[in-house]
Amino acid sequence: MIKKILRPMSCMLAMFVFTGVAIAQTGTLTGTVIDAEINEPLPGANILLEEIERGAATDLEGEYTLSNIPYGTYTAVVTFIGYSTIRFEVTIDQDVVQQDFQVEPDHLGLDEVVVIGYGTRDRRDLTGSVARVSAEDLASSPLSNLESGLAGRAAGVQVSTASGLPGGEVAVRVRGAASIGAGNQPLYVVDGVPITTRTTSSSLAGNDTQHTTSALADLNPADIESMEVLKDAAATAIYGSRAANGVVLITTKRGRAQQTEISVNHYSGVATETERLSMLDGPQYVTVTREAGVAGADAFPDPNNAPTYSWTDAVHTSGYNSQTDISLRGGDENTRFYIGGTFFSQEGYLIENKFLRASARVNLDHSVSTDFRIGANFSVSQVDNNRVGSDNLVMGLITSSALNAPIRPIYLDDGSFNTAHIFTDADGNVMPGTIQGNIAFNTVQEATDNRRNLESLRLIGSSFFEWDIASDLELRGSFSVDNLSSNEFYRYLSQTGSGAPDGSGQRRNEGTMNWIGEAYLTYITDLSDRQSLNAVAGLSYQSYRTEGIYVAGTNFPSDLFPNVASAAEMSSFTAYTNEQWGLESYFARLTYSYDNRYILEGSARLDGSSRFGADNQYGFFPAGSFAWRLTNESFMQDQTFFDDLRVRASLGLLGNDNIGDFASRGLWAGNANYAGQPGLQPSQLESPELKWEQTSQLDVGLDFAILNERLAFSADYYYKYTTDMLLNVPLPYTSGFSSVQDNIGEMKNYGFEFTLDTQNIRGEFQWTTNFNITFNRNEVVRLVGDEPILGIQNQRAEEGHPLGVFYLQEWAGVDADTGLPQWYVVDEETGDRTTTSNYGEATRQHVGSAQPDFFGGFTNNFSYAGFDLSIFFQYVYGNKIYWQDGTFLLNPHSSFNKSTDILERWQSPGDQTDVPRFRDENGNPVAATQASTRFLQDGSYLRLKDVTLNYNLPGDFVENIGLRNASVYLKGVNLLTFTSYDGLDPELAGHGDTTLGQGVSFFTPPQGRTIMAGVRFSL
Amino acid sequence: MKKKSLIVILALTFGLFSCDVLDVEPEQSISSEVVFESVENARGAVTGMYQAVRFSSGYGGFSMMASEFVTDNTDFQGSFTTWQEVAQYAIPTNNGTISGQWEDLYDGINRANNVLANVADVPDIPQELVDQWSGEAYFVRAILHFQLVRYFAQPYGFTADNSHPGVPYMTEPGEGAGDHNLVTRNTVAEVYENIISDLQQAESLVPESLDSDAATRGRGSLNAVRGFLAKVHLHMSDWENVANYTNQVINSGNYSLGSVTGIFGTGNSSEDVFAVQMTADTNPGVNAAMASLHTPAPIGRGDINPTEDLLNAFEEGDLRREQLIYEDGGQLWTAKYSSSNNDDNVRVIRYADILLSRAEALQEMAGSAVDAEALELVNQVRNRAGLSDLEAGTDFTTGEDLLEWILHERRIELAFEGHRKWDLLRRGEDLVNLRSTSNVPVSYGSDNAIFPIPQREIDVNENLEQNPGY
Repeated sequence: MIKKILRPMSCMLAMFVFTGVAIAQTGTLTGTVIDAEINEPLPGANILLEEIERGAATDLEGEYTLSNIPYGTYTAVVTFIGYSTIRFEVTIDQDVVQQDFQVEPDHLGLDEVVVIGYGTRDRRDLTGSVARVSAEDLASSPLSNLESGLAGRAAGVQVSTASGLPGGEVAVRVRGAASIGAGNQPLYVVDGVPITTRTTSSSLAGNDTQHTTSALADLNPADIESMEVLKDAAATAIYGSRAANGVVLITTKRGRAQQTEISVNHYSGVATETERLSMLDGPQYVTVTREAGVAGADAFPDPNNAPTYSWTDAVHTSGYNSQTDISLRGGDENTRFYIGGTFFSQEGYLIENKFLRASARVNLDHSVSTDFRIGANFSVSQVDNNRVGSDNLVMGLITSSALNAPIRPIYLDDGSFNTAHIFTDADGNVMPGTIQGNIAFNTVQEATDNRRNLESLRLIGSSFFEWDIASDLELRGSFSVDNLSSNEFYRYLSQTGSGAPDGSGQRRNEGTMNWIGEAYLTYITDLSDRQSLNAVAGLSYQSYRTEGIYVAGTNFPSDLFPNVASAAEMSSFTAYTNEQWGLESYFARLTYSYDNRYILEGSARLDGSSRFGADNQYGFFPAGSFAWRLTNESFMQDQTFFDDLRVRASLGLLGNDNIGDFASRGLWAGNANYAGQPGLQPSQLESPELKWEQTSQLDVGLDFAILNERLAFSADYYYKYTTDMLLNVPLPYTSGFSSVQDNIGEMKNYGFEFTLDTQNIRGEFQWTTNFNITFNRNEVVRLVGDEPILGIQNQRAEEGHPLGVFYLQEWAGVDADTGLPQWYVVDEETGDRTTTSNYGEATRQHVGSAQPDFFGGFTNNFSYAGFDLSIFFQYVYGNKIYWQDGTFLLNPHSSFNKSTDILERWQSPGDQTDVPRFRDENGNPVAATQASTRFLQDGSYLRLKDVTLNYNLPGDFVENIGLRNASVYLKGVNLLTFTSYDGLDPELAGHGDTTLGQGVSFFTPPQGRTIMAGVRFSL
Repeated sequence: MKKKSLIVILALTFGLFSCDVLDVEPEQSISSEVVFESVENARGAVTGMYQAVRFSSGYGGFSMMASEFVTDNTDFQGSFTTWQEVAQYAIPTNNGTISGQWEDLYDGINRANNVLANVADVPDIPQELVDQWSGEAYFVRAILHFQLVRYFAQPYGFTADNSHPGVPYMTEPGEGAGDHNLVTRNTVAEVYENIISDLQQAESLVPESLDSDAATRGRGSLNAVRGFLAKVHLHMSDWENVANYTNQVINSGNYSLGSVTGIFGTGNSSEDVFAVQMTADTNPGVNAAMASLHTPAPIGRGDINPTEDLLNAFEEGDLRREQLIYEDGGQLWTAKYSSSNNDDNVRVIRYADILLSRAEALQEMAGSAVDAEALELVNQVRNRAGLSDLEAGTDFTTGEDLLEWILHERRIELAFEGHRKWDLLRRGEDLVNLRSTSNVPVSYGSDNAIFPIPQREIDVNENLEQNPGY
């Protein structure tokens, strides 16, 4: 019904788009913009006449000129990054009007303009909770995934990457996880286009590289102006059914009316792994395997003569990063452009691992007339990712290099790869055959000979118009496409373990076509001297579709034939559609401001989705909020302590539409064939009431600035309660079905976020600090019939516990007298704890989750005489990581190689150690690597994430060589990590974005430690 | 002017995208609403019912073997734990194979119920198709319930009025969550009444011949329905009806005995009244197909062998012993299923079964007197196997003696074909599992002679009563 009324309305709205043209007398506005603190002209500042959206930028002398301005009175807005925005009324009533502006540096960002859904706001006028990460924070960081740049920089945003290999999927959680089955990733919106975040790599059959990749790897950090994270209902409700996990708005750079500025930035650097496993050498390996009684160990060469072949050394190499980006920015009053091109290359610290990204962007704005503007944004990027195996794979480079026996040569004497499991015995005889239970494949060969290639091509294009229907009413319309195609190609050669005996190959091509058309009206007016109104109303249509084909073949005539077409046997050939949905939306926001003291805002979105059941096709997501700027109250005028003080509150409803495309439909599948006839079978029950998962969120915030704006503080309390979580409700099989999906589950998140920005020292030597910390608590409230939902490695969702709580036997250490392992037994009734050396008797308990007690980051910036030093730390505290590698690395009873930690085994009574003896008095093997808290570790860490030292070359010198500005810089990434975690990298713990797989590591490749140097200049 | 035209273009653009983005139809599957909106899709839904019949759980694999290897006929020596539990009569209530069997059979029943509920409303469907497809759906619904009641309930006749628990008899398509799902077990009497009623409905609706020989023998054609009516009545010891329905099948003149080996393997034979049609692409696969389990490696898994007891039961010169049992790797195997593609059709009802059922019914009704037709029928089957006629006076004297011969002939003729457990139980006899590793007698009516209701099903449906002993 609603649909029937709204659709014609939308068409009508579009038809209203026409107008007449006014002709008037014009004049020129000119002047200089000056930095008030040092009294110097400011090149590159922007002047905008708000009413007519005409703007210009200052030249090298800080001068600007705006000509052909119709006579009248305008609000001139002067903006420059890092300076307070000023507004000034100017009247054009003669041919030339001279107006100079003085702007103050805004060290704490109090005056910055933040991007919000369908608009922008001065930070001081916000009623919602929005975190901003600006271009400077991301500039020149070697990011293969843009979203990694949010880590530690935005309160309330927790980021963990699936793997340290380039392009890996990143799990971003805004104020905790709010879903079990519908995903927890925020909505990403680039310049108003909600983009595809589908991974570009699905698991290819068989030997995959294990980790999916991030779709945001296609975006170029060099083009980004800012990323805003919308967190509370006031900020996100305008994104309705996709807002429950927060929204990340990504804004790219635009042109300015100025003489064309060409900027060039280049950096190069080296990368090494942040951590490498310490494995046994040949003699130690033989000693340990013999002591443990591993089958066949007696035949190994004598420990004293055992050779060592370091497989871990063989797979590691020195990585190399470099990026060159060139941008042109300029234009005149009528046409402005930003053109950027970037080439980014990352060669990993693991052999054969390479990531290349080439990207280009054109952002164009053109004023057709004084009241009509058009523009286009277009970006194209190509990523070529040479992937290597990781994690739980026999050809995972770190996994199998660690586990391969060190007495097994990597190469044969003739230099070819050793594919048989050969070791040389004590007498120098070459022993053929297998070391039972060991890694069958030659890891180094797997990486060197085989290809695992992922290419993606992404086009995001958008064209738009803005029409000032009246002086205070603007219509903006846009049509955008986001086209992402990926081509994944694996080819395993015949002589490699994974390709034997005749070679195999796979190729998958997948494409997503995502288009969106939007139109909205913005009405900004002053109702009186004291009251102003800002209203937005619009509509949006989006359609999304992913389809692909997959082929796999085996038995190639020779290794020279790369393509699957040459395979003698096609083992798979399939074509599929895997995502299709449409979204029809209507949204509005009304902001009322009274005397700059009270700001009231209401926003809402009505989302109709093809994913929702017929009985619930439209969801309504309203939010209300207010802010009270106490410092503008008359009773606060006499105090001088607070420069700014405001309180905020918001409440609203948000949705998560990621419930599957056809979860509500009754479906019949094909392939129910009989006697050669095609048949159909019911595959899913209809669930017409099925709808989005719904989160209601309350946010209460406090912001203040004191000490003459040298200290700014912001605090938020939030409470998110999610209902209608989609869960499978089991049905009796007598119904013909095993389950039906229903909106049943409930979960809550609540917590505090604090940010503190201080300017510790002002003047020639400057020191500023930014600090943020977030405390989030999560609890699963309701599931189906108390049944826990099981995840990876003993994680589960269980009522009354945090999502992903580990349910494990508790390790009680090694008995110093006997050397046997011990676990706790907890008496169910009394709660008494005793220990046992019989694993089967140990009690499973809830022993913590991957969710931290708190996390955040802090940055210190120092500047003096052209030098800027920025030091950024990020930290996480109180989370648990299941160190699954440990169950292999500390297991003496296999022929796998082991960690050197195993040498600390118990040997005689009284030994205090955490590693049990290998065999008991009777010579029987002692097992101690069963799942228990022995491998559940504290994942807390403090990491020196980024140190950048930048030197701005002196202005005179720069001018003499014909440049606008120039700087050189040195940067270090991941230089230091403080942690008690035994695994490789505490920052990387998760099976991609798997909801019940966070906090599990299995030989997950750590991040690189990068040291690089760069130069940046513009002319 | 320039601007206006630009705006018109933009407006048109917006006009275009206000088309219905919400109208998205699935492409990997189709919506249930459209299935019965065309004859073509309805035909697919009818064919789809038979997929459940050919499932391992239906009449295609496990369900046909599990009624042999728990008896004196065959021995399961494979590695599947859940099958071992069945073979050893020690079944935990969470046995996955049995849970899957219950699930698959009701899945098929739901398919049949969907056809029955919707087929008459398919636009432009000819009445003959409505009749035929409804009849086939009644047939499928009946035979799948028949499999359920045999496996999950004590046999017909276990209580005098058959008031002991059977299985829920489902007659409506499945709907979403709700109390309507909390069904109870019908009594065995009710289940058999429903099965017979469904089969009689089918009998009145389906034609004698379908559009191909494979369809006539592989789907619910008239004689397949009558064959099942005979079989169900055989389980009820309703001899008159057995004699009646077998007579109708025999008098159709469509069936004849073939050669000892020619009637097995891929394709259909003159003897097939109802045979589950398998193809290389559509069969229960290496882990459940008849050939895979009954054939030694490398062609099959080699999990099921004949017992000594069965081998000893063959008479001297029996061609079925000579031609259908072979030795490989020191063990004996049946040659009834041998395709490396696992596409041997599974004979559920064949002509010899019809002849022997009729012989048994006639002789039962004759009591101590020897029934001449019964003797003639059993001799037909014996002669085909190279054995001579049974001679009155030498081989038997009374009607009871002849009945023994008929039942013996039945065991030999139909071994490996999924009949033995039912032939023992319907006659009130004990099961004796002569496994190579154990020798477990299970007396008639004991708790472990039947399967447990899957625990998962009890958990989800509180109204469902578990079988005693589980």
